[in-house]
Amino acid sequence: MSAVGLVSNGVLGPQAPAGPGQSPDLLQIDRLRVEVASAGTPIPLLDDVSLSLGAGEILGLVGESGCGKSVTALSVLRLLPEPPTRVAAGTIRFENEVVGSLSRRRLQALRGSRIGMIFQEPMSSLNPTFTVGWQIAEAVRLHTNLRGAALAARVRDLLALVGIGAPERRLAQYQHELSGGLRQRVMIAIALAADPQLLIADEPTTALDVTVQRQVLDLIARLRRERGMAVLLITHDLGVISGYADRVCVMYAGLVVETAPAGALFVAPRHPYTAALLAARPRLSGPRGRLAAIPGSVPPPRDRLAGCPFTARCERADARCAAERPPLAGTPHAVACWYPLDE
Amino acid sequence: MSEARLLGDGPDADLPADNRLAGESPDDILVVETVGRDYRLPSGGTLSAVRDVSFRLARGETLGIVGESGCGKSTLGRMVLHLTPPTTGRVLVEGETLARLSPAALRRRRRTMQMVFQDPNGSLDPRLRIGAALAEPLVIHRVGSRAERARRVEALCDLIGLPREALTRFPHEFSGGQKQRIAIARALALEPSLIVADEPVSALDVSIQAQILNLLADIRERFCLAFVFISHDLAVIRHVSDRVGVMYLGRLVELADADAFFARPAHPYARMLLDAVLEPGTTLGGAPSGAPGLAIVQGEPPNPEHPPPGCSFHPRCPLAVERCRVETPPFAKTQGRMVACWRAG
Repeated sequence: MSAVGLVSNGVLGPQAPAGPGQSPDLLQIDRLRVEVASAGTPIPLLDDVSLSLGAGEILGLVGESGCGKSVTALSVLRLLPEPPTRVAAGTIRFENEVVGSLSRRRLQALRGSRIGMIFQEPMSSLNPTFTVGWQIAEAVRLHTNLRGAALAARVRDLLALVGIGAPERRLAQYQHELSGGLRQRVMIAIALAADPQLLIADEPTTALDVTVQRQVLDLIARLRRERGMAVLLITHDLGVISGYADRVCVMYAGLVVETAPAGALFVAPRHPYTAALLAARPRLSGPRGRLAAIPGSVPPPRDRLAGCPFTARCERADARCAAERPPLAGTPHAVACWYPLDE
Repeated sequence: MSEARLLGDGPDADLPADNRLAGESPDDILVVETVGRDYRLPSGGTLSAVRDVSFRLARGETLGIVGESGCGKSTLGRMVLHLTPPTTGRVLVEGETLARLSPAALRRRRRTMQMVFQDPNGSLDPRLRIGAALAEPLVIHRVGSRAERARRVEALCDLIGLPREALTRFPHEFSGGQKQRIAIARALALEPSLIVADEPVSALDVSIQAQILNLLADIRERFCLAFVFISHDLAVIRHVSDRVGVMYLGRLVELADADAFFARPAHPYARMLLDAVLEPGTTLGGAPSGAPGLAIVQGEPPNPEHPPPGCSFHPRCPLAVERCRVETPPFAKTQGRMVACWRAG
């Protein structure tokens, strides 16, 4: 299992188009800044976030609480309440359309139809008063012209697709009658109702047990492989990213600090934060001594410096880091650091 | 209902004769003997949250209890401290059977055994300044004079690495990691010898989790504390534990030295649980059956209201044979550890 070369995930499915001049990306976020209104000056939640996702690619978005990974996902679907939040700068393009200038109708077509989304807690996304079958059918009805027998057949197909057996029984059940893993499968079935090109999965397995987590992640990986669907996989868990993502974006305090192919990132992280995060984790092998804890904590959005937000916790930082924000530079392994680890 | 609420003393004869591993000290701080906890359900059925669990814990030792949600690990932790009285079996702390203690004696006993929970917000009164929160256990147990208590509170504050100014502030002014430090300090106020920690780092980010795990290691060493450390996270369990217990559907299915366990778990469930963990840098790919030679556990734990006959794990176990479907395997010594499996080995 130590064969790190395998991490490149070539076995998983279509590789993303890479490099300049090739086919355009499915999703492109360019220098996005999202702010939330406050009594004084607006507080930035995201600052200068850029990332791209190719068709059929799994991009892992990883970071600790408050780093902006969920805000990024919600911005793609324009699901953040405006006000108090506001896109202050930057653009989001999905299939070369600027999401910010879509009409309400086009936006509705984007949400749930071209982009599906699943969340950590399926319990709060499902309606407890309707059967599972009704809720999947509702999603199909909303996004397709299927009705009657064709609709019922589609619902049954979706259940089979997400690996739910005994469809007749399941369709008549309510969410409280299902286990956590089955509920998340139902959510995936709903997200797939209109055959989206992109699935945004925000901590999809965080509430699940480790054995069930693997089943759900394998399902997502299989759907990507079979349908060429791209996945934006948001998680705090570096292990999940390592096992399933093609590329990784590491976020810290509202910024992308490092982005790289998954294999390269875990073998040779370049940002001191990424390296520190990997070192702080207790492991299943190797010595069991003291953990390399990262001192301090993430600065809250209102106390962020002009420079690199990791400065206060970073061993390599100096005056320049506090004063000047490093740009995200390098390809395919980009890092936003004045003193990255390989230099 | 009345029967389920009885605090039975477990019949000593039921105790497996050889339920400890070699090398344990004879003056164990904690002895758990065939404890179980049943709940009567509104439907009339009975749910056994914990069944037939036995283990011992030496002074200064850490036992990690690992299992998935609903396996009974939290109920077990609460029974160890008599916060949830067992319906069968008994718990002895420093030789005293908790269920036999008078309310006053149990209260005195509680000074030596404390609990740390996952959510520090549940342990800290939002209206109480940190100083008062840390002094409260001392006040309740009438420890020391006012001045002595103040000194103890300051010492606790230093111990967890918070500035003294923190004592005059309220819980909401602290981050999750800091609040967990405060909850730990509060548990230490009475200088206990046994702490049950139920998922103490599960709500924390990785960088903060490492700080808290290091703090727990420090205080464990400094005060020779015995820990029952409950977690769903195998990497955390490996990091903190001297011995490891794996629970499945209310039962302990494996109990082993941590090094031996992580080198090679004996119970098929434990093995599959370990295989399911995703670690950075190792790849499992998206292959439906995981890495070569491994299988992902299929399905989910059965409903504890209707546990399968025989071994509870047999419906998900690739090694199950006819006997597993009929007969419950005993928790027996094999390969220097305790395992409840007909196929172990």
